[in-house]
Amino acid sequence: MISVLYLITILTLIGIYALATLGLNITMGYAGQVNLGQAAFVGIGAFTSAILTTSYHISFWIALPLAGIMAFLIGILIGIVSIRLKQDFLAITTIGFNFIVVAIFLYYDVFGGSFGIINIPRPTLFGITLKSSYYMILVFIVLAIAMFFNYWMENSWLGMALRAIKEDEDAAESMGIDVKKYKIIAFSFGAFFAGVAGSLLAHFKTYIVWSDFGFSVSIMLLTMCILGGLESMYGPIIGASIVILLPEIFRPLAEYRLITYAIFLIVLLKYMPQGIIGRGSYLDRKIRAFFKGEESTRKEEDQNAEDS
Amino acid sequence: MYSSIIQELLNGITLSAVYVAIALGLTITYGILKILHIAHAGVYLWGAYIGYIAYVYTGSVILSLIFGALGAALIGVAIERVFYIPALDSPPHITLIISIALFTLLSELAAKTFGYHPKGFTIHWPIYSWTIGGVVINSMQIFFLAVVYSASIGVWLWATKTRMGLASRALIQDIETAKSMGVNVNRLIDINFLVGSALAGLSGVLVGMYYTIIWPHMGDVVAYKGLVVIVLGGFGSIIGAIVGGLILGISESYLIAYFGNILPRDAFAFLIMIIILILRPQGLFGRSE
Amino acid sequence: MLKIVNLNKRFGGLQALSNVNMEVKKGEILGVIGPNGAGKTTLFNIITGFLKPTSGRIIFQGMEIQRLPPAKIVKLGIARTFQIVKPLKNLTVFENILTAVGYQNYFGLHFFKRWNEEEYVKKAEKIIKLVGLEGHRDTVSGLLPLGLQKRIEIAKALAVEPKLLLLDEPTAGMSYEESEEIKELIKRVRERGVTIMLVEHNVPFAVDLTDRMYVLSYGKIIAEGSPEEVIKNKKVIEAYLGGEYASVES
Repeated sequence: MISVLYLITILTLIGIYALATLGLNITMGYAGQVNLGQAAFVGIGAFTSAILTTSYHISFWIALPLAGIMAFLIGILIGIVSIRLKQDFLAITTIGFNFIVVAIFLYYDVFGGSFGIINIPRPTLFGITLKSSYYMILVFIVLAIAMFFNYWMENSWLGMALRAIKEDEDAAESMGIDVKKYKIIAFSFGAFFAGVAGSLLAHFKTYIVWSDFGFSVSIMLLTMCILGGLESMYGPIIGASIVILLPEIFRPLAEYRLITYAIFLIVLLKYMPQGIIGRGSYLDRKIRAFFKGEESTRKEEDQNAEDS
Repeated sequence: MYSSIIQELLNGITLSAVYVAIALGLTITYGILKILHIAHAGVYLWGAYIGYIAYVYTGSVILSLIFGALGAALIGVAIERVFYIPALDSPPHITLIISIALFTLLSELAAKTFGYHPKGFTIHWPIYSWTIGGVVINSMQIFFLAVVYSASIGVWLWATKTRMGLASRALIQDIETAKSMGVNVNRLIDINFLVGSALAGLSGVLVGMYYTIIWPHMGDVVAYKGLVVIVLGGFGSIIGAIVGGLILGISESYLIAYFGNILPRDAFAFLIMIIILILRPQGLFGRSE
Repeated sequence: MLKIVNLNKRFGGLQALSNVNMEVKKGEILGVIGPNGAGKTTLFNIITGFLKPTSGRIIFQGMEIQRLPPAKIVKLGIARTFQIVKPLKNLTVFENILTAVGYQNYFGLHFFKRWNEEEYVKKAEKIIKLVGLEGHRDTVSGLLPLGLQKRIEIAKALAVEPKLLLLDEPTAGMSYEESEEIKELIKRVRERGVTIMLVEHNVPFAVDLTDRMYVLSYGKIIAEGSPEEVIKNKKVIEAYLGGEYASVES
């Protein structure tokens, strides 16, 4: 028998990881900048928020955006590093970044070392402590805001610029797009959402420890991102839902979690690199074709269906 | 003080042995396919387990080493044929992610097959220990160093002095030209993976014997440290891999001995790697374009 | 309009450009020809900010631009095409051109503005028509043949409303018919008041199209003048026929 509380827990986690994946999708999906250390940004947000609320008794409502901003600032640093590096070397740099950040969490007492930080408070609003379903609603509201941002980005010059640097950096420059600036934007915006997700995770679990943000978590986020589909605002939700629900539905899979991610990644990248609903995937083309029929004013958006 | 410096140097050279061996394999495979072969550490790990099983059944150190190397070689070539060759046209980060996934798969499969707990791997050879001027060294360490370094030097000589090794280096320049000149490219790629993987398997078994323990995550550190070494060495430079491996191992053991508390050593290695990538994107010993 | 003063570029030991002085006059079609490896593309890369010169100055409408990044130079009014076409190949022709049409929105924080405004869409459509790609508006650009991709290349450059347009071998890899079409297109562009500087390997094409020419050889300007003068110049003939012949003659 599935309890309601259990269901709420699962949905909350899906929301939080979808948010972190949405950030990764900005960096990797839209802008094409490989990031294999997204979990580090989640961790930076989580510890920022946890430390601010436990040691400094700052309100969650202030700590939440600050967590995002902290990750955003570190994202700028990684973005600057990324300017000089090409694809695979950028990838290993982000792996290294993940290991270094986790090592810092483990080695310095501010982060609670190997014990982590406990008793992270649940947020309160109008005197009510946000628990279970209330917290879930909070997570969903934040996710909805992030999705709105994603939607806006897709339809703005920012989205155009990110896609252009993904396709060809020199061509982008020749069209007036400052590649350096947009690489930094790609990393810092992506990190921002991860940081916010980290804060939400910390106050949901009320207990965090360095190992919650290790490289294998980055691999999990990567799986969610690629499975759901790159360059789609719905991809992260679909990806996060499948990756979290699958081991819950098929219990034996829980023990083979990492193996499942690995097989997903290998099979997807080999046979279905656009994921379930990513740009250019079967579903994506069908959806675009459907809207094309209804909304002829938006036809400039819908190309792949007929041409490929 | 003097003897402790020498002792740390010896420790560093011991630590370096596996870095050098892994980086050599990574270098010849990266050189030829331009793929960052993280799963190489999975090959190393399985080499160790296969060697362990061979030792349990035969009780022979030599057979254990041979089986470990052979088993690893087969796994390495299988990975190359099944996953890398078909993915050659994909962007490099795609093959990198596939490689990371393969490594995860190999480690987890080892854990599911042999258990998450470490297995003791003690060989029956008696161990003699000597103290020379305050520096301690034992017979197992000498055996370990002798085999890993001579195998590494062997691979180095193969890659830089034999016709086949040189042909492989030439292939690095231009796979298409080599193909059009009638070079059997696929066979050459196979052989490079075979040699690199055998060396990885051999060092896996030796690391197990030397530290008297093997465990399913013994590849984790090696996987990413190997990358650090080839970044240090300048991607595809054979001598760079050897020097890079030594620099990393020796500097790590001094860092731990004298500044142990700032960061764990794995984080140090990555920090060094990132700094080098920023300052010299072509690697420490790499030539600039 | 554009003045190049004592420009030098060295790659390691190789002197790619030495003491190049040039002037581009408003409204003209200027050709830069020269054998392979003469430094033509290097010159373009320096003017457009993709490479920094070792020494020398580039003055565009009274402003020194040699230290500016490419995106800034685009905004000042210099656009370029690439010899090896660089379309955003997973995007449609329309999206390619639209991306360039929005060039003024990539600075500061303007990038949050929506692209789906009539102003931009119309501009993009107009350029598509100008280069004759109406039939392929919604085709993914990577799927088009080279000849059409070259048109996208020119369309993207026009979309940034340049005062000076730099074309890097616009006919490389094209058939005679395709080249003729490109020639007509370039003439139409000039009629719109755009100054054009083009690098060409195809000498007859350049002679036919340009008002004035510079000839580069081993990084040096060896001749300058009207196309008719230039192709009769002895130094130019020597450069094209190669060193052995020249030494026999002298």
